[in-house]
Amino acid sequence: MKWLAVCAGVVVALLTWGFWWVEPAVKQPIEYPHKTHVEKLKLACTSCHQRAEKDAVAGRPPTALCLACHSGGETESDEVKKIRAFGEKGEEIPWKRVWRLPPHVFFPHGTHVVVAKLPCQTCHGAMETLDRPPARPLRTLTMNDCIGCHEQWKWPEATKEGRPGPVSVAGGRRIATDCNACHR
Amino acid sequence: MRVTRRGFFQAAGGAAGAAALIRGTLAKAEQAGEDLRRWATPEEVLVPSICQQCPGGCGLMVRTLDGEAAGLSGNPLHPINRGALCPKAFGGLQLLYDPNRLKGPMARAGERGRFRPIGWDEALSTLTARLADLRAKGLSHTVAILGGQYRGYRDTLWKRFAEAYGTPNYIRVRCLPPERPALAHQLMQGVTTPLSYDLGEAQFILSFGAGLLEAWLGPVHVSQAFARLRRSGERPRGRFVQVDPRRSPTAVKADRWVPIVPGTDGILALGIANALIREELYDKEFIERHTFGFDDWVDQRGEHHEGFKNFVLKEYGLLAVSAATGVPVRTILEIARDLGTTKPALVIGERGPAYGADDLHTRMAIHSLNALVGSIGGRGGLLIQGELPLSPLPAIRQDEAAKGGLLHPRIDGAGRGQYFLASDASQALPDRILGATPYPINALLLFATNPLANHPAKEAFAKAFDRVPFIVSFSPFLDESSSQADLILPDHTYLERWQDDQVTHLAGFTCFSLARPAATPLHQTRNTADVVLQIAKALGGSTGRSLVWEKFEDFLQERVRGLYEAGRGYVVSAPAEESLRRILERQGYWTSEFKSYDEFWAALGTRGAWWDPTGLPVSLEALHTTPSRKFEFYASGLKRLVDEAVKRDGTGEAFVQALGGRDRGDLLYLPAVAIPAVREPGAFPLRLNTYRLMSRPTGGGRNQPWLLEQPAVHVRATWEGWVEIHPKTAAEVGVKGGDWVWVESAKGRIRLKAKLYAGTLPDVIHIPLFGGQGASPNDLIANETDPFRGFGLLNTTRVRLLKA
Amino acid sequence: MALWGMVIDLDRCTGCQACVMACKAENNVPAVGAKEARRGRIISWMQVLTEEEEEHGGEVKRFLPRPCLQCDNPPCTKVCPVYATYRNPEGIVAQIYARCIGCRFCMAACPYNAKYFNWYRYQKEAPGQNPDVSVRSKGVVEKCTFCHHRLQKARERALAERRELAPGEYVTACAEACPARAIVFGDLSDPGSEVFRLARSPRAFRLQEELGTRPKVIYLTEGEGRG
Repeated sequence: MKWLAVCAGVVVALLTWGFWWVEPAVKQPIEYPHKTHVEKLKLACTSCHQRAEKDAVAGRPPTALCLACHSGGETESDEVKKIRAFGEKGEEIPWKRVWRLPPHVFFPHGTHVVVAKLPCQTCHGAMETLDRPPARPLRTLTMNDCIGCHEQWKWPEATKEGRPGPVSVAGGRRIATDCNACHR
Repeated sequence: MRVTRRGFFQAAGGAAGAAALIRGTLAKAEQAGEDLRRWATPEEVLVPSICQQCPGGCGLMVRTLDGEAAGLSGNPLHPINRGALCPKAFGGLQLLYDPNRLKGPMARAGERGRFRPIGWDEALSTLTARLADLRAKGLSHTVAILGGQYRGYRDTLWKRFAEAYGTPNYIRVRCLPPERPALAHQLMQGVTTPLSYDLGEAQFILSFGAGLLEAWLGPVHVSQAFARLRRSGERPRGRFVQVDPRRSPTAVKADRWVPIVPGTDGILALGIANALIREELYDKEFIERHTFGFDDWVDQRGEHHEGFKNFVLKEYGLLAVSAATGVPVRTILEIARDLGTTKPALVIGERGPAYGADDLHTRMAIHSLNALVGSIGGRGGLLIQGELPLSPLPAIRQDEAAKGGLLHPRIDGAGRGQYFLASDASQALPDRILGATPYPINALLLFATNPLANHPAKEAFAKAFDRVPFIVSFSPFLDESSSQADLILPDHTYLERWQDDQVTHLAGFTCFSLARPAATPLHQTRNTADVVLQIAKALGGSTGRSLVWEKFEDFLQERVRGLYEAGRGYVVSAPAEESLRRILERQGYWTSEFKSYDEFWAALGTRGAWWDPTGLPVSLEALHTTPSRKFEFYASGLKRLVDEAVKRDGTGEAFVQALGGRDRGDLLYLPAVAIPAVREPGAFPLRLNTYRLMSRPTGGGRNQPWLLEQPAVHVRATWEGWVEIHPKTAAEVGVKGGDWVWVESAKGRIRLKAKLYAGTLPDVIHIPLFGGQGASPNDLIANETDPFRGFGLLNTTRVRLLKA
Repeated sequence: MALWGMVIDLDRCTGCQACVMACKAENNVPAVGAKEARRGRIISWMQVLTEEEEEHGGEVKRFLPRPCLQCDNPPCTKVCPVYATYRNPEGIVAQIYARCIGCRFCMAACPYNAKYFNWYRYQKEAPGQNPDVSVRSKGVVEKCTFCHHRLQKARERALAERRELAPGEYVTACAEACPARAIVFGDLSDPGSEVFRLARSPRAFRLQEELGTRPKVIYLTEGEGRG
């Protein structure tokens, strides 16, 4: 019994270590308030995360895009001054990555945003409520989240604008749950 | 204590789970730490580039993610490779990301081989000061520049630098100058640019040892032509015969493999000529109208000369040829009949390394077969290459120092004495540096070459390097040669720099490729072409005046204007567009696609190449610019050169001796290859044949693990170098496959893994040049020199085997 | 539904290994190093095999590039205890690394030796790799996937443009690189495709047909034969 108890002790210690170890908080170079931009200014997510509509990755907004609004006039804000400083040096803002897709998963943002018309919040959580950049993902997704959606989601009926795309394109099914459709 | 089954499983499961968790979190931590930049990069961009792994010049498309090269594919528009690639091309990625690349300039610290990193400013000023000092002392000619295997404007720039600075010693170290015609072709046919081979249209190909499908000029282009020869909708399946001591992959794919005693290719060619003449299978009309020296003739002084026909009939009876070459009489006859009856037929006698001691006459003998079957200047035969209409460079304005330096003879002796016809004589170079004949070398510049490892005279080079007080290397790697340098100014690798390529060798059409940097330079390296311009500027004088461009890019842009203004040719485009333009051009309409040169330049940068597929000068007149304006079996051009040499050097003895001796009379100018007397085996009974692998790039590619791991298919090799031995020969020395053996020549011995390979003559062993890790055959190769190319003979060495 | 397949013309193949190296670059296949290579652990999803003549002392007779043959009746999937390898609806035999437990049953079952095991973590993620393909970890089996990441991307592109996948839009890296154009890739169920036509050539054969594996990589023999 003693032997088992030692084993159990070690196991518990290891397990708790794993449990308490969380990803370090991410500190972004700019204290970007999603709330101001999304709720107050009514900007769509894709106004800044433009590549989410056409590419696999959503990408970071280029500095030039920030400066499109934040370049003119005097400013009191230290954060805006920081953006301008990056702009003057011709540098991209070194945004840090918060959400990480495992490298063996193929997730095309474009398809999910444009074709399936999923709201970004489905995966990213209520980003519009944040006054500061998130230190870690608001939601942690697992494969079950992907599959759950893929199993339930119906291919939209034809609308006035036409169908979202030929059914056969999605692998002949309503929506693929084939492992090979996402694993790579 | 009792361990229950259930308890055991619980504990084991728990421990495994815990372990998995820890591993998972650790992996996460690692990922967070290195934070891949990629997620946020701009869109991927495809940038055209040019593969520099061999002289083929294939077009690449580099997949880049924010300046990071993340993949290669063939440029689908590029006329040389049409989107396909060979295995070497992919090694380019590993070359770029080689962890052992030099991170910046280095200077010698203490004895040779020890370095300290320095800045570019210091590196450039050190070099400039040294060069300026030598020049001021009137010693500019004691600077030697060694260049390796590259083409295009980087060559032009070095040549110009040498001429403006005032040194005759710009020496290319290579066994193959692809931009020059083989001497035999120049003498017999009068061509000034290399011949091209219409492989895609030929119905019968006879190749004398050229590794067509492995390491010939442009393997991709040849593979495509081979596929057409084999299977094309419009015509019957073409045939292909490979003469080679070794059953190479090319020989495996040929319809017939003809094993031959190394160095006797010319004799076999003359045997085939004998059969063609005897059976009257040669092209009589072509011979009569377009050749000189076939029948007996009388010169202006009334002297009688024997013609090729009678000479071949008399000297090269099939039995004698068969005995010398090891090829059965029946095989010779069958090849001759195939060659004489299939049209169009092509005979290829351009092997990278020399055929043997009598390389010039061997090539002449092989080339005379092309004339016999009348395959010169027609579809499916031999064509001639056009020249690129690039903007000419302004004349070099030499000052007194430059003029003075150029008055000195070359250190390697090229262009004089026995090397009268050689443009470079790198084989002779180390001994001349050691002997300071005719003068000592005070500075040596190494660009894209590694003679201490890759040259057959490597041990002599090592001694010569000790004698040179100042050595500068431009290598991006710390290789055998650059590690002996006093100063290293590392070049970019080819995916990081502006460059051009002017490859026209095989296809016949003229083609100019342009590459802008595809990847952001990984280290503090600089394009050597830019560095040359910078040094020239700092040197001032005639050097600075002759190299006025700020950057290599500007220089290229100025030259390329000629293509835009030529009023012909196209920047490559989609096949449909291209065929439409060609139809128009055939009807006499050529219109430029571009309104301005800027547009042209931009398009060239995004599509990768310019070419002119039409207007190949194939008429017989264009081919024959010899003294008789015909194909010359009797090379009167060579006669004239010999006479010139005699006049210039007094006796011309060294040169005539190199040709075979004055007592040979007319045979000196005819494609005559002496049938060697039977030799006793002696202490070294085996012959060494070296060859190039498909998987080995220029320079050996020792930093490309993919290619090193699977270097060859015909033997199961990996990483280590090997020697191919016939099973019978191996049994005689008691060696089994996989054993270590010593291969010994008069010069030295090396230890290699034995691979038993039945596809060879039993008394020949084969070692690939750049086979893999470990010993190099350069340690065996006897220092015999081909006087017409100034390079070592790679296949004449005799060796023996010992079990290690 | 498409049925992806490949035809390899042995008459054209020159054994140059362009396909092998193209595959390595495309799929982030590591070089395992000299020591591991000597133990027979080279990973080569596409491998050029040689066939030797028994009469002439083992002279090489022909070259035969061998990817995963993507059998329609694959022996490897039947032995996988965790459903990490299976035949997907479009005929690609998938290998899901995240599921693989490294038991290597599938390697034993494959008659073509087309599967490879990661005995160590041979490489980390690094610049120069293809970002579309994951780097396999230690202890999983990997193999040729017909470059299915290219299918994923091509399909998304088609979907974004609201159209069907066009023929020729999805091609494997080996077929793209082959200088002799010996490798043709396409949809075996499309009567208009080149693979459909070539698969019915009198020269066509499959490797070890007698095993009933029904490979979707079809070879064309050398020689004068038509087709």
